[in-house]
Amino acid sequence: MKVNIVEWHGFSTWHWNLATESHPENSGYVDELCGICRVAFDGTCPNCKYPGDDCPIVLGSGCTHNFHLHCILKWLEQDTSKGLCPMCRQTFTYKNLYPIMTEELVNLQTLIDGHRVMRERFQTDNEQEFEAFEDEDGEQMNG
Amino acid sequence: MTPPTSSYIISWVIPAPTLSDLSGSSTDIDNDIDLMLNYLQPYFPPSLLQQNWRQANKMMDKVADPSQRIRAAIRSCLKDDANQLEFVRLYQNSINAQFNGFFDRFYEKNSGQELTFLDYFYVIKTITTYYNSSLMFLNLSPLARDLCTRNFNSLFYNNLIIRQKHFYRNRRQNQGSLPQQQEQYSRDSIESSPFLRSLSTFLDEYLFKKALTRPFSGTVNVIDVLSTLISINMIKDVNQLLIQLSIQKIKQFILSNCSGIWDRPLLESINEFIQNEIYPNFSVIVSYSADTNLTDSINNVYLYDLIKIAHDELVSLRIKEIYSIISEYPRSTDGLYELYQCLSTKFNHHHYNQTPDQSTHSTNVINDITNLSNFSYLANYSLKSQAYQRAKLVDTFIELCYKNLLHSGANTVDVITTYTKTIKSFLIVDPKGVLLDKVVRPIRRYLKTREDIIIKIVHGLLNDSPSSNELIELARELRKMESKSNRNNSIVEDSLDLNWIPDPIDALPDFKKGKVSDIIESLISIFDSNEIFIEEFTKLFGQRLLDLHNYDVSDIEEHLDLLKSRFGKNEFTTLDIMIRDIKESRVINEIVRSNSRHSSESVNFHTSILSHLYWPSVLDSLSENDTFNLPSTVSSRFEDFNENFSIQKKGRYLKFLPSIGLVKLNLEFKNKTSRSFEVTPDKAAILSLFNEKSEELSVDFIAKQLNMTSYMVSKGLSFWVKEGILLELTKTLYIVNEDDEEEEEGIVQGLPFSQSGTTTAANSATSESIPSSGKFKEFENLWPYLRTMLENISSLSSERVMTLLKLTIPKEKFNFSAIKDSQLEDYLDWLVDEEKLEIVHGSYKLKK
Repeated sequence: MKVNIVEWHGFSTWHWNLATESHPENSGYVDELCGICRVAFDGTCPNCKYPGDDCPIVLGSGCTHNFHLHCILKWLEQDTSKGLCPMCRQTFTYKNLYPIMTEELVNLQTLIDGHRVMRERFQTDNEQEFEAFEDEDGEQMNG
Repeated sequence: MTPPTSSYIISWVIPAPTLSDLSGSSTDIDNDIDLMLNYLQPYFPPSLLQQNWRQANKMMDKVADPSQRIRAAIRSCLKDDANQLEFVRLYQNSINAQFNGFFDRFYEKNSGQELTFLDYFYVIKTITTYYNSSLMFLNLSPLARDLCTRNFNSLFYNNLIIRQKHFYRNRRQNQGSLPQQQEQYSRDSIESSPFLRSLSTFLDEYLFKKALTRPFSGTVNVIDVLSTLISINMIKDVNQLLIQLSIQKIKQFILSNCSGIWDRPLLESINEFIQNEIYPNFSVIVSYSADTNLTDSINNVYLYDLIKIAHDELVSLRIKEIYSIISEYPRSTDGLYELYQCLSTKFNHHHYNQTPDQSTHSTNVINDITNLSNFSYLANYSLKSQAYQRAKLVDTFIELCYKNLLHSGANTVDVITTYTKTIKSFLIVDPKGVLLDKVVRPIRRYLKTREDIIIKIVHGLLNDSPSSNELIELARELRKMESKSNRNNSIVEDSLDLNWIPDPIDALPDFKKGKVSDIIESLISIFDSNEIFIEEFTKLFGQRLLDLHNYDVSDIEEHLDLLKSRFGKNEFTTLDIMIRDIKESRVINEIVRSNSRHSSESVNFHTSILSHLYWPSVLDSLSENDTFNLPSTVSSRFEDFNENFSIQKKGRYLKFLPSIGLVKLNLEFKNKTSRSFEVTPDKAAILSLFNEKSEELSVDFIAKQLNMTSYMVSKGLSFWVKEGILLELTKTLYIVNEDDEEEEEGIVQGLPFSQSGTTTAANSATSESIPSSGKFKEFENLWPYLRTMLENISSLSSERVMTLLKLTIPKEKFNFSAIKDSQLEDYLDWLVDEEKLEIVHGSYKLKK
């Protein structure tokens, strides 16, 4: 007997590729929730309805923290964020997964760039104090 | 009722002075008085005093014309008013004595039999004629005449009604069966007077059964009767009887013509009946008896009252039937509509007399009529006010509901159906919804306790096929909603509404207008929150989307839109995402297919891509056991797909859910026949292992290959066995059923696989080489049983084997008494030698 599979209608679920690609060395624990809104990445940020394309995620490249794009945008829009990752206070940079630069991604880039400029200006203006600030900051982190 | 008796007692103890007393005195006018008295003797119609007055000549007795001398005597005796009055008083007293004496004898004589009205009438007529004729010659003054007339009237009333009642009551009292309270209802218990009873029979006979004008009993006719009764001032009683009779007729008519008939309008025929049958007779008598000049419009008042009585009667009947009427909806729409008409029409008398020039006049006349006919009294007695009827309707329906429906044995669907019918019917009866509001409360309370109501409602709403949906009404209602939903938006706040009307007077405090008018709304609002419905909808749609293999969601979207208009747009987030998933899957599948490097003749693989957080109803039910390895062809296709997907959707990957989906298979057999199947993936995966394999496969092997639980494997295998594709060699070994395929379907049904366990084992065993030798030939029969036993209970001691075999094998197959236990043990040992069994820790086991 020959078994011919004519048609196979399967079901699958999609997931964001959080760890394997960006941090292959971190095979262990991967946070599945956005650090800002505490909603799963496979879900949506609080302002979105549809997960996936409509509410993409941003993978941190400097640190291991990932966020919904909309969440991190909101964070970076605040001056007080100083362009740092809200989780680990390192300068936030991201891996660009997306071939097409959407408006939101452009915004993200602009914000990150803006913060960097601010930081550099601040550094040259008042390097001494910035260092002190950075130390303090570092101590807080360590503590 | 003491006064009459006391006066009689006195008059009996001390006889009233009579005219004969007068003649005893010696005055000037002795002679005149003697003459006059002689003339007036015997103070009573002589024919009635005869024993057999019934047979007597029916000519009315009259006092003979007086001679000149007598006339002169009368004149001289009754010269002035004082004399006249004195005379009348004495005359009446002597008549009283005669009257009472006559009626005593009259009742005494006739106590054994019921007198007909004609008997009474004859007596009355005779008496009145007699006295009228005598009075005529007395030339009395108007005052004295009036006195006379009144005295006669009261004599008749006393003797015909009150004394008669007493007479009969006393008789009954003597018999010892008098209900005490009857005395208080002297007015109501008209029937207790034989005279009135006979009058009522008479009226019934001659008004409703025969033509009114037809003469009867020779000279007597209705007009004659009426005028006689009027002359003795009994018209009040006649009217009363007439009204009672009419009401009785109406009741009978309604009862016999309307009960159980709800599917056509009846009011018209009722009105016609009253107008044609009841009212003509009625109005003749009333208009004859009423001394006022009745205009047509006033006559209409009676017509109205009669119709109103009929309508009320209909309402009471309908109240009794209300539960059945509602169960019959929509067949009973006409009946319900008429109930509404009866309950809502607010006639009053003035409606009928609205012509302006009559307005003052009419009220006077109405007073007259009510005084005259006691109509309002009786009407109030028989009618119930509308408010009472409405309350009664509600109470009765609720009571019947509890009795017939709201018990624990009721079917939820039936309750929902009745609920919807109740809503629709009561909205006909009372469009404002006040009654409905009251009536549905207990049903709603009950429905809330039913566990399956949500599922029933949800399925009712979504299943559009009338054959499988018991609640198709709901589905229709949902579709109807579309047009209505727009209007709902324009509901104005009460405080802003210029056309605001206060709630009806009998509404409950938390009554909300239109709250229950919409059936679906009403069903949903039984529960405090929509969520429970949304959840159920999501579950149901989730299942539908899974069963959807062409990615066409338009049908589901259409349903969802209907639901959204009902439940609110933002309630179905999860469902929106689910639908979008399927839509996007379609797009992605097309893109992947166009990119695919596979040739078109290979497997047509496509997959629905789910956002896993939003399919709880589907994904939560999947367990670890539901995963298994796909056939290599398919899994490679999935890998490709996944790769493609990751290119399309950067940063994302897919996880395959092997256990759900649908697979189309085409099986080609060696004999060039082929069969097509649509099966679940697990069955397809199992069968694909048999692809181009002629040797048998074991359950364990398949389970290992597919990484599937052996339970699932067995289930899949038995499916294919049932389809005739595989053969079950043993419980664990299966092979493709190639050879039998030539004989096609017939043999498939003929195969014994569906038979019960032991015989299956026995049959399959025969196809195997039975371990036998000459020595143990008689034990051959035991082997299949033994094998089945050990398959089920993995190991057994020889004693247990003995007992179990004795229990399970029927006597006619194997005679255990003929063998010894040791023989059986020998057989078992032999089986071990033959490597069919093995011994582990002293127990026998099947050798694997």
